Amino acid sequence: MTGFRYGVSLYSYTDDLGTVMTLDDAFDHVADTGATGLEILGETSVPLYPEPPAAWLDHWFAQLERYQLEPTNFACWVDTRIQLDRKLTVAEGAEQIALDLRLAHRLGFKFIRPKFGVIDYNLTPDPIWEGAVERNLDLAQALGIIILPEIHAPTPIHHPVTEGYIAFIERTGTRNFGLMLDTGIFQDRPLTAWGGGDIEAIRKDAPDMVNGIKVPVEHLDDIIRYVPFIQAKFHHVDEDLHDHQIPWERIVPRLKALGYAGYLSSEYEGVRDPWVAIEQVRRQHALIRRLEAEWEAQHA
Amino acid sequence: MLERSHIQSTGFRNVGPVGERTGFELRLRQANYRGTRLSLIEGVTITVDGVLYPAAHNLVRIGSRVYTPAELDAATETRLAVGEYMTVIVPRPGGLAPGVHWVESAIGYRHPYFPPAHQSAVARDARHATIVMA
Repeated sequence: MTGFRYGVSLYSYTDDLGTVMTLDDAFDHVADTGATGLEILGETSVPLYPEPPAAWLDHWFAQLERYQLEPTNFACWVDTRIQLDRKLTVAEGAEQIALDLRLAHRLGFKFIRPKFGVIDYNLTPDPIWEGAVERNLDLAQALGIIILPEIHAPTPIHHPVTEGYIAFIERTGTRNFGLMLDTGIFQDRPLTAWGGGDIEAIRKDAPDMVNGIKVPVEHLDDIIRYVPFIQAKFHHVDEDLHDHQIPWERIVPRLKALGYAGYLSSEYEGVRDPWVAIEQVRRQHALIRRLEAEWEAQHA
Repeated sequence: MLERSHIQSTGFRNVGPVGERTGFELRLRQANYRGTRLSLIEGVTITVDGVLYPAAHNLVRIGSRVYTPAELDAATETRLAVGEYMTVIVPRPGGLAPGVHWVESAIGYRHPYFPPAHQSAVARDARHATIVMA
């Protein structure tokens, strides 16, 4: 039976990186969880992005070898509202994606996640997304990379944004575009801390993000065939391996029943005190591995 | 490496000739989780001991280059990396008195992937910091 693949996004170590943790430290923490996949944010972890020094590239590949990690997803951005009064054109958006595809390929990544600017509360992407991506499908195919837009709260699975991405896949027939699912959409209890910014600000402006949009896990059935990569968003796992917001006890069996065998790449977004993320990621992996083992034992 | 707070102890000092100080400057750790185009930094407001110094009058130095708010908006291909700092230069004739001050910072970031009503988000910090020399 094919199991999940376990990875960690270095987003988990936000605020630690650059204050109490180096990229080399992060390799050690990720590898020691037993994970095999490393997800990075290009603009965060690649020095002098988008043109890293040659010596850094050498060190990058040496570290991957030393820790037996494979690059998974390369997170990048299409900053559509690039200036206060100027938006990117389709050609500029396409150029940004091409740049990130090439850099991700140089570093050995198999996925990129371009985060597009949006035009409304439901995270409808700027309309340039479609042309900007379509112009890069041949390049993505040549480089062996899948471009992943993120399905992220407050956008649920059954929603025009998600349906628009699926329609694009169906229309183009591409194998180089798929959905990245962020498990924050399944959050069903309120956040008490938010590692993405000021929780009081989102409590006031975006209560959905605090309370969770509670997407039923059964909705996975309808889109899983378009999902080659999952970002395992979470905020707090306690000493009893109980997640306070994300219902892994329902998510894991559903993914197993659907035969999902891709990555679960941890994305911790909780309290940002120094070093907390290191322990939180380990707890999440212990929790998901236990649930996966239980499911497999029941279905052996 | 830098202190965890956005406001850094090191770098808080008066600027301009001794006896004729023109202001003070302050280092702020890059508070966003990703290296950020300078055009996405919408300005930095500083408050010291309750006195507000609005972003429109403050300059930002990154590396050896000094930017006005309009120059930040134009700098679409220059980034402030994670783990680095910006130096905010604040005009204040005479500078600040030596000693411990209560300093507040508010960095305006534009996040194009946030809903439009929330694209401008402010990263705030506040702490004591010390001016050593007049």
